[in-house]
Amino acid sequence: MAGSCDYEKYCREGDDEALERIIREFRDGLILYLRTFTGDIHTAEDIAEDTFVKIAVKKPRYNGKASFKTWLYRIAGNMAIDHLRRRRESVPIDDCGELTLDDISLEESYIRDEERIAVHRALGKLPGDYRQILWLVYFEDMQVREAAAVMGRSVHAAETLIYRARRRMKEELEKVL
Amino acid sequence: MKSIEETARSVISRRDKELRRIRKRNRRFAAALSAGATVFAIATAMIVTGRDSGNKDAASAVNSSLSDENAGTETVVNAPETDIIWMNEGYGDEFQRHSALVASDEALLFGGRDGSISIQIDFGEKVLSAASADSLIAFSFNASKGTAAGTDKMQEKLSNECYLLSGRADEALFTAAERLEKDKNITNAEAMARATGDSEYLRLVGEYREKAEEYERYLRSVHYERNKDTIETFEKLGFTVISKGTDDDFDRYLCFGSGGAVLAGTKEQIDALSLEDFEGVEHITLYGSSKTDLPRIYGEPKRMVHLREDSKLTDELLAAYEENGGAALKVRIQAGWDDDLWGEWVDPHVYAYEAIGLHSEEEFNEAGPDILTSEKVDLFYEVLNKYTYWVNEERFGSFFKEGELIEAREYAWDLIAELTCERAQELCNNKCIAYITLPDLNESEGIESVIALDE
Repeated sequence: MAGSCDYEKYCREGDDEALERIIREFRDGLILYLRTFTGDIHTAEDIAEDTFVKIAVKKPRYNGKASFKTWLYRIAGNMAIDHLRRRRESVPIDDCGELTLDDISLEESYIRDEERIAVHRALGKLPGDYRQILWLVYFEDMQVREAAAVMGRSVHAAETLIYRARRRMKEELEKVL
Repeated sequence: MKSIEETARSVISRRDKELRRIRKRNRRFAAALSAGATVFAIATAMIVTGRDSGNKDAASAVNSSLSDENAGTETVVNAPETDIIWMNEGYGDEFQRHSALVASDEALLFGGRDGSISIQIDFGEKVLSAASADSLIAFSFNASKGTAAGTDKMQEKLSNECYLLSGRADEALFTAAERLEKDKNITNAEAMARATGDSEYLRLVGEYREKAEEYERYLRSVHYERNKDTIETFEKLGFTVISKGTDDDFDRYLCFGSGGAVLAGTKEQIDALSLEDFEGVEHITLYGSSKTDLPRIYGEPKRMVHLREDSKLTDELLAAYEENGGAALKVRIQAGWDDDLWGEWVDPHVYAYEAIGLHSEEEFNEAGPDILTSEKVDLFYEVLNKYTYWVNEERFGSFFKEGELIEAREYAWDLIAELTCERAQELCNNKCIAYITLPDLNESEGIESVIALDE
């Protein structure tokens, strides 16, 4: 699996193939995560690409304290926040935007399972931070500690957030089912 | 949507373009640096340290500078492929108050040693994230041997295109300055200036101070205008706006680089806050102090609840408020991005829990003496201290007395918020306090503002 080894190889040797492996491994998940910020898939795609460009140019130091994925997602999340701040926009709290063909295609290739896709769609009805934490924990299989690190929260805060997000998710799913 | 292959091609193409731009910029910058070398003439005993990031000449200079016998050699600047960062390093605690003194033509960086290493790192990241654009220079002056480790740590945090160049001072000079400072009770800046006999240094100190104050005035006017509506909204809600950009002492710092207002209200008023009251506010950080991360200020262990939201006041904020019994609620709202791009803000407790084999506050609270042995408790605090930035009351207090603007803006910012809350609390007879810092200029705007003022 691509990650820290490829990143180190890229930083050390400038190996473009290593960079490509990182992009291949993480791009789709990153886009879906960033969509929880932006509400639309195309902006998310742009920010994901910006994130890869940023690490390719700046080669920020990855210190191994967290997983490479956690680290990458944190940078991407910060870029998303920065992007929204610059544009003076915020995501409508109760609406993650309409699904496009690109959304559906990405869901099918990345999430695959129909039931999980249905759950993912219900995520769109939740506030942004609920969407983010649930995406990280349930779709990216991150530990709460990792999700907390990605979101810049304490573990305790993340646990509280998950609890509330799940409660809200349950309500949303009950409406659908 | 692009295919993954298209994304990869686009990333590599954009990277190459950006690297070409950086190289071009740095060549221009190196030339400018060479032409403006007199600016650095006051650094009489400086050598270059740094780290290899692809430039062999600079790396060579770095390596050779690491030996003591090179102390006192001429400054070497030979890193045309890099951004060049000069660290201004004071010494010991005095750095906290007196070192951010010399501005180059382009920007300012400063750092310290020992206890201020973590701050150095923060500065480095902050400025670097702000400095994605143009060349950045910070000034290095009279660092001590003790700085080397901190410098190295900071360099590790810097992106590879940037070099950290720092100086190592003549030990005798350092000692002389220290003695002067102690005997004459004068500032570090003055002591250094006297020790070096360098009137230029003092002149630059004064010059920078003027510049900083001008910058402050500029920021304050911008912030107040930007935040006026929000302040008025809170006034309509019945809050007393203690400070909103006027000229009293603590407000001066509060407003510098941040803009803001201290609001005092009753528990009921704070309870009545709703999402709508925060419309347009992009970032909220809540500090609810039941315990604290600042034991040296408050005298007893407390915990700082650090929560944040990107756009709205949420039930999480209110929950934290409840958790603190409704007392001394401190809300900091900040539109500015307070995480560096490369930053990994993790509650230091997380590392401390992990160090002793636990995973959460709950586990820690529930752990009995069989788990929390004295060794583990020691380890817990050792790790916690390692990842926590501690500030002592003396330093913090002196900050206010002497008023170093840069520190207000950079690292003491949160602490100012805390102290201001304390002050506000006194003023309001310990009613509930909401401290609110309103949308901030971001770092890059700040840096650009400095440059604009220079021009």
